Amino acid sequence: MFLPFEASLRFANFFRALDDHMGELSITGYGISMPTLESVFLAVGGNFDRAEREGTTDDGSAPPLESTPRARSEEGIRHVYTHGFVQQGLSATRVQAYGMFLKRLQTSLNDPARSLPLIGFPPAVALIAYVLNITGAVSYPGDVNSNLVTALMIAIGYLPMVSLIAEAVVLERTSNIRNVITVAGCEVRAYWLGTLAGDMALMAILAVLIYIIGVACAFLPTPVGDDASEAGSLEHVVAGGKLLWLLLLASVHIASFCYFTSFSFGSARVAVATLPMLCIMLVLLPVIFVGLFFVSLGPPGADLLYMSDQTIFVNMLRGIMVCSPHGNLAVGLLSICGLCEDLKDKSDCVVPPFWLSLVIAASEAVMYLSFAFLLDRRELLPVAEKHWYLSQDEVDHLDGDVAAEYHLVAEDCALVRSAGTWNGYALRIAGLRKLFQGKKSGEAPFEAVKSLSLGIPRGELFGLLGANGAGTRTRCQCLTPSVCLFFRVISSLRECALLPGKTTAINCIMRVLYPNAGSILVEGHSVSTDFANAAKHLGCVTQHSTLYPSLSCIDHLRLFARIRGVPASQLEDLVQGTVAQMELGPYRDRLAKNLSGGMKRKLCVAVALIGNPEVVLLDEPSAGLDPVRSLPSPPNHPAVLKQPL
Amino acid sequence: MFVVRVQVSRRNLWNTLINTMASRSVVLTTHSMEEAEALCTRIGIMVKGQLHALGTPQHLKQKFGSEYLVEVTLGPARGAATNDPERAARIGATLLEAFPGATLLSDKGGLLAFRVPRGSFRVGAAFEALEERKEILGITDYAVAEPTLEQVFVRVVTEVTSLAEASRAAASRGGGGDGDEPRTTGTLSPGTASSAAQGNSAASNVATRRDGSDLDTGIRKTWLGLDRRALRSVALYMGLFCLACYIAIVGFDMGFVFFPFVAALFFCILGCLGCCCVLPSDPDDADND
Repeated sequence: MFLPFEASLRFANFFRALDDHMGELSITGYGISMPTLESVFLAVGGNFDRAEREGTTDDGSAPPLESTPRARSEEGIRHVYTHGFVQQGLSATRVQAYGMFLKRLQTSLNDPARSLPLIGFPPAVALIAYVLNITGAVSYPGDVNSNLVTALMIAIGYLPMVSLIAEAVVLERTSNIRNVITVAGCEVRAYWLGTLAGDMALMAILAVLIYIIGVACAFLPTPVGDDASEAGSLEHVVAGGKLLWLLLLASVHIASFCYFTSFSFGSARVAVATLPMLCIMLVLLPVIFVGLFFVSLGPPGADLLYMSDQTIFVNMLRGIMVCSPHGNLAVGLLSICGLCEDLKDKSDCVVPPFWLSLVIAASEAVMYLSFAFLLDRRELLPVAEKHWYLSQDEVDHLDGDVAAEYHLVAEDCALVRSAGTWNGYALRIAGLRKLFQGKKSGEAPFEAVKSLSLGIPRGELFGLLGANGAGTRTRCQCLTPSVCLFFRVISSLRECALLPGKTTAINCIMRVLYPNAGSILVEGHSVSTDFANAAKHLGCVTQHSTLYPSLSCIDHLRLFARIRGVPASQLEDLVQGTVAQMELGPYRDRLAKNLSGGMKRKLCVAVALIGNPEVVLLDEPSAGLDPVRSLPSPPNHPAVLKQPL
Repeated sequence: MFVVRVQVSRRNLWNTLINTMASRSVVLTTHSMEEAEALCTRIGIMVKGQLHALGTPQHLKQKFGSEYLVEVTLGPARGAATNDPERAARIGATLLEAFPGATLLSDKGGLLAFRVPRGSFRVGAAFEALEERKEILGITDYAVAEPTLEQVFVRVVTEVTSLAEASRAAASRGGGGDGDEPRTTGTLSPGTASSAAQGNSAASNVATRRDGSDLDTGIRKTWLGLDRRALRSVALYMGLFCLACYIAIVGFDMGFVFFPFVAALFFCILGCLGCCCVLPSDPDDADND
């Protein structure tokens, strides 16, 4: 309660009476503090309520109608929140995949700097290739060389695409949005299917564009030389629709290749720079191999394998098809152009037919997608729990309150083991222990968390304070799963864990680290062995805003509502209710990258609350925020002075 | 025109959190004592990976806070400046009478801050004493505040750190390093409903504390009988051998090296696959970089 300064004469009597009657009033203790400078500033900062009622925004315009009265919105959200996780199983997977699909399209729409090159570059290169072909700039139209250049150029046009596709996936992973998605309950299968569908929707556009441009160029008048081959002409190439099928299938092939290789990168920039080179290297790999074979063994080597030079060349083409998606596309295009037919005439071997390109593209796409799925899912597989108990001596050394909590949690553990039920803790951490091996050989392990036992009932807001190096971050990392896999990412995250501080984020919040011992129950579901169910009750706000920069507030909420499995019929109610509750109304259509730091944090909280999780993890929610709004704007909520915290 | 730029202040975010987190259980990690005090119903203070204090903010303040803060603002007095040290000393002495054990914390030109031990402090008596002496001492204003959470935090951290340093120093003096050695005997604490089986498992856990299995987290560590380090070595050395073969073939026209080259390439790829695709990278492993 607030004691008015004017009544200071009566403070003495009041506190004396309070001291005398503490027992009667069942008061165990009381505190007294002065008003902070912040509250003084809030009090003199202006009448925000008036401004809020007037509802002026940045540009002075009135906010949209969705900023409905709070009372009504809270009523609505309570109603909708009771329906969290209404869908599970196949239907939930479908809804989640649809959400990921829409997310990809919306981010592309909102970020033309990335989506336009993705859609525009390959058709532009194809157009140049077609024009070179029909004008006979390389060789006469229909010639093998001319078609070879055309095929290679179209395949090269697809090279930057790998960067753009992988960048999105790697960024998702490095910025921890992927982890937040996992915690929100997104199935691995739904994630990859949705992402693939989104990328395919974009790549189908460019495949159709390349085909249409090809058809258009084919009907242009071409200079016909004496040696012009009718079979190899562009008109022949685009006729029959083989080209379109090949391009569509190659798109799936390339996209899935990007997903798989994206696991090797811990940085989006490195992925953008490296992946095209990797693709070129993969094309060159069989060429180098064959080259080595020839250089080392020469013609006798070929004789040894009963292969003619032509046969070895065709086998090299097969190798290229298998090794590289771009190589497969190029060879497929050559097959359509008739180059392979040309080879067949010159040798007896079986040249790679057109259908082989399609089969390789389809089978490798399935293989790469499966790898991506398995790599992702591997991190969520159940891990055996090891129990850890303190010795009596160690318990005696604990602080009294901490020891009491330890015993309570131990009782709860015993109850779970004996009766199969738990005491009703929403979150229970029992004997959590995490060691880090020393960097140098023989160095003793660093114990980041020493048998942490904590039971948090529903309705409690538990604050974990820690000095730098206390291991607070590490504890949170052990709670949630990770999809970061390879050493590069992990080693950087490990540094974060070993050097916790303000700048080290809880990027690695999602089960990057497995506890050495201990069990964590979220609403009775173990994080180690039953994470899928535990995640349904878990929401998390990381220290850094884990948002898609090119997605608006409302789209974020829709995406996460779909990930939570909310059916379409209830989705809009839930989203609108959340927007109103979190006071995001005037910003609903603003992209996340254009939001202020505080609004981003609010959006993160809103995203975590979609689906009504019972347990929420907040990692430094107000990190980087000013205590009050910067001048000349008046303070946000002097109302807080009326409502004691 | 009055323009509102709605950047969300920290306080605004806290309000949102308080409104939305009421029915949930929330774990909040923070370095801001203000935030912890504003939001949390219960607080745990971790030092060196161990929980060292637990309870409501008020409980922690009462348990670990050892002193109150009394701030006194002096008004202008005849013939004396507000920052006159003699006057400050006189007032300090007077306050010392009212609050035994009080010490002057700071004197900022008429704004005196005193630290009063918790044991000798009664809030009611303090207000009474200050009101009585207000006129005599020329006090225009005064304030009384309980220990802040920050003080509690600093005290807990400092105590634990100094204890750890003392034990380390004692251990080094003893020459054995026994102080760092974890206790290797012990049983589960009494008073719990746990069974004997639990006690046994506790004992076995304690017994295996220092062996290698302690770092085991259940992650797959070997493939084809080789761990990550071995696979990485295979990949590296086979790759180097490949390179040597390549140089031999191309540079010295040694065609017969082609087949060893193929074999080495195979094992190199196998090693790479094992390292990168099969075995999960374990963040505990110091050799991951």
